[in-house]
Amino acid sequence: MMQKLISVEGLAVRFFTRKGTVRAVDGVSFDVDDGGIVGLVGESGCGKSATALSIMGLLGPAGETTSGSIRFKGEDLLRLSPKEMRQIRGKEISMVFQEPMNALNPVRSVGEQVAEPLKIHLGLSGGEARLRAIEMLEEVGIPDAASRYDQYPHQFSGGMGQRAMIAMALICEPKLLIADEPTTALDVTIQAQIISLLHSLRERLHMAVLLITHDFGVVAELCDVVNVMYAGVIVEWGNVVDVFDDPLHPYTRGLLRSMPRAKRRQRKLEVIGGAVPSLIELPQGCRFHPRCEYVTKRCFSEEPPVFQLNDDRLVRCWLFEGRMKL
Amino acid sequence: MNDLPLLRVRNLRKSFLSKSGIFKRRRITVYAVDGIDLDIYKGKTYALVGESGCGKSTLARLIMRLVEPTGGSISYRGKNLLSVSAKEMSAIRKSMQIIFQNPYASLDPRMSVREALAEPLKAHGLWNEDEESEKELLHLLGLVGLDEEALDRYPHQFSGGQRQRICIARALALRPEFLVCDEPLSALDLSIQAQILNLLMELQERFGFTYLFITHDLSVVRHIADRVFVMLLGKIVEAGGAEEIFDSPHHPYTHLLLSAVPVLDPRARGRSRLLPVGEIPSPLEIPPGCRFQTRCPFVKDLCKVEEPLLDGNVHAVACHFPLNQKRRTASKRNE
Repeated sequence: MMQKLISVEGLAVRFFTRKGTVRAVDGVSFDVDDGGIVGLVGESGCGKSATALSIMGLLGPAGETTSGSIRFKGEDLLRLSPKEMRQIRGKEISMVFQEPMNALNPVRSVGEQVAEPLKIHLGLSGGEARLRAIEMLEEVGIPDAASRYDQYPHQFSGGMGQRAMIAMALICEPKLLIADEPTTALDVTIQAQIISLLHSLRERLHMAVLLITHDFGVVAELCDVVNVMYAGVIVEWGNVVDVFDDPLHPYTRGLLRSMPRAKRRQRKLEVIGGAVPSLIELPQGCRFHPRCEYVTKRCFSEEPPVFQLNDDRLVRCWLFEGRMKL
Repeated sequence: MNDLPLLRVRNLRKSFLSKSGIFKRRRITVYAVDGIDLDIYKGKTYALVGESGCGKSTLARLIMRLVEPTGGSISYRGKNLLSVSAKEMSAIRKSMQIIFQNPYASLDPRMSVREALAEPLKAHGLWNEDEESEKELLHLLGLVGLDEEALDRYPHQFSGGQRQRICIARALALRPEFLVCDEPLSALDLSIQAQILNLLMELQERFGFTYLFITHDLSVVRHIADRVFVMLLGKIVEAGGAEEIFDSPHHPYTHLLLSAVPVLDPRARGRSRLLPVGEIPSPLEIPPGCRFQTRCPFVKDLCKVEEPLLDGNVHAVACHFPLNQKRRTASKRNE
């Protein structure tokens, strides 16, 4: 049995804006096992990125983690001081963002930025850090790494920039990599390369990955376990094969069915009606009820709890009432 | 196929001047579109696919005459768009419309939906301040599934999917027959994409539209397209019926694009597939010979010296050593 590496419990994140309080994450719980790849999948505004930023302690001044716990190696990350958190960030847990060109500093060489965590966290000298960074750049598939070390971000293509970001994130051999839409800005050919790179690095470095994405295709290619998020909550959790074979929540079902599959000209796609609700004014009862084709009276007023179907299947929907409640 | 194509493009080219160096003294001519031939027949759906930077959006803008070509010809219903009078062009423009990727950027935030929809009608002198015109606006909204209330609201009051509906309604205002859709889904939420795709298909059934879809999403292409053009660095490298292209791609580049698409089935993960090697070359440094040689797993000496020409009629390919076998489909579920 695999060990839990990180355990998120009842996490709630709020953003305070002029228009009102945004309940971006509203009671999210999940685990990432040691060495596992866990997907957090959902549409824009479902709270997946806010969850990631909360784990990293990077929510910024407008956001606040209002309740819950994030246990990592026996400690609650939410109770750590900023100084203690800095020792974990980039060393034990690191993050890769969607846009490599926005995440890299344009006025410092790529190599320097990749080497920086080694100097900060492991106290390596400049020369040692440089050698190790070049090795890491080679490992993520950047050709001619020694000479590219001194180049600047604008001299890198999007795909190469993302490889450099991954090198920077992994250089201290973290236990957990949070990858927030790591392939969304890339062409499909480059995406395929990055997916295969993440697979091989996970094997070699024995790290766990929390993958944040809106793309079910990427989830199918990469994850062991998937959490489907909708409007700030996880609506379904399960092993990746089970979720794709037999999606339980009406939202997951609807999404998977609405995607054009290879079958040509089935003409009409099945759709989920309506649009994603505003996180400032969430619907009463089940958050999905205004769009749900199986809606019952109860869904209008009572928010469904999480029902457990078996050891590794959870769903937040009244249709599954009578199964074990968690 | 019937006689004359709706749109015929011959040897279309567009170059940009790229300046580099400290004082921008190094000037390089970049061909974003480098000699393209297309025939588009009425009532069909065409898809133009390729990686970012391959020139597909530039080609769309050239066809719409939003940018001026460097050379070549575009004819619409037999009229050469590059030599018609301004008056004739204005008449032709009514029948060609474009829908852009980002409905957040393509609507003026200070114009109400009423103004946005009336604008094209006014521009073509089809607007009278009367009930008839007002009815026309409601009719347009109805076509895209919006109701009367929308008329006096502003873009920021709508979601992305609704804004794209407004953009579509605006494109329909002049009763076009040919619509260019430049990545119409990619800025939209997942659950909204299917709604918009269905809408576009319904409208085609109803009005017999001809579509040119520019997209990087190959599963959408397979769902909607009759014919597919595959573009690489300014050139078309493969053209054919959608089914033939997906089942048996002849160009290694097409094969690579197809096999890079993630399959919606975790069981198919271990499948054997072509993984692209290397990087997309910069359009500034197109190698002599075949444009795909740097990434082609089957590259031979000939490919490095001689550029292959697009060859074939129904299913055309620009490759010295085209593939000729059925693509092993990754999984039954995906079929």
